[in-house]
Amino acid sequence: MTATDTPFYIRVAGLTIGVWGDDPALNIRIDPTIEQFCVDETDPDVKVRASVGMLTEAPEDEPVFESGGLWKLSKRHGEPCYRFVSPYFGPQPYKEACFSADFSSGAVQLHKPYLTAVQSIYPLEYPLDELLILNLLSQRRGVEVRACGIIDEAGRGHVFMGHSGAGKTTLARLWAAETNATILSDDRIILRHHSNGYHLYGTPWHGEAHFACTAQAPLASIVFIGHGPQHALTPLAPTAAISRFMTCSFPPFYDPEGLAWMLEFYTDVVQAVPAYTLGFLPNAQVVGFLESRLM
Amino acid sequence: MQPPNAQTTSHTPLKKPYVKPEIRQVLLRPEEAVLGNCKTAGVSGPGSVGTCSPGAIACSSLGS
Repeated sequence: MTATDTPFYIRVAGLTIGVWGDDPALNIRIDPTIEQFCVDETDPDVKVRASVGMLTEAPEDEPVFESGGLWKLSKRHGEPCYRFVSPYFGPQPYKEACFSADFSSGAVQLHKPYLTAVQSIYPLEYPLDELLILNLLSQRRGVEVRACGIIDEAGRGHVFMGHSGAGKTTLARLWAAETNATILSDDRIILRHHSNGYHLYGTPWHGEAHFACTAQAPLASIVFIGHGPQHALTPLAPTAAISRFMTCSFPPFYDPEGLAWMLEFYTDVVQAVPAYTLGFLPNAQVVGFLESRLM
Repeated sequence: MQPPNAQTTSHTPLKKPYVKPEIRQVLLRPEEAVLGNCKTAGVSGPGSVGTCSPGAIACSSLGS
């Protein structure tokens, strides 16, 4: 795809990003995992223009948040601006993404000296695509959690949350091997509330097992997972579940309103959907164990 | 004969027992909470495109 081609549109959890190539020098290529999340032309929630240019120092930027890794967030003329730096390149940003205050539009610029003439680029390369969706969600739309999510054969959704190493990918593989469940993701799930209740959605940001599915389902259970000496499912009080949710989230630390919304969302969802802790052994029996208790 | 306040009592909602507020510390993992790093351990670049995720500049989104 080149800049003269039509834009592409990505939809994650019902939120759509439209990307226009704005530069003949830019060869746009969509990340293979993202491709299944592409949709036909539509009116997107965010319109992004992508180009190639020379990124320079930005002394007028007001620092807002340092991720401690690839990106930092600043305010430029009152509007959010992400700059991405990689140890591979050095201190000069390889990408800048600046948005309107409501994240309805933005511009991504890639640092030209870092690109070869023939290189094809996905302008929203991780983590920008996920950061963008997180900002949209924080506008009272929903939350993203570290989780494996499945839709069981009755069409009900179940979310299994945990840190790295808790067993999300293991569980996803076991569900896939042992049942006809749809695996939405083995690492990231989005939760949203609609008039008919809470729903879970798959995302493109998968884990080691590469499960990434666009489907969605009503949320039937919330499970916080960890390895244990035996399979054990224990009901969790709402207040304890809220704390657990926070540890498996991507809190917008730089956005007090978004942070308050996240807490509000968790407070409500744990009243509406049963929550549990699961200790399990990494074997196939855990699937039958969960089916007998949750489904 | 019913006690004078029998009807009133049957319609009075039960008060929830008082629970003293408490502060609960939640331990976050900053390295997992802010999307600060690539999802893969490796770092690619213009010279390594083709060996990592196609179209990658600094991060491959494949894997966690």
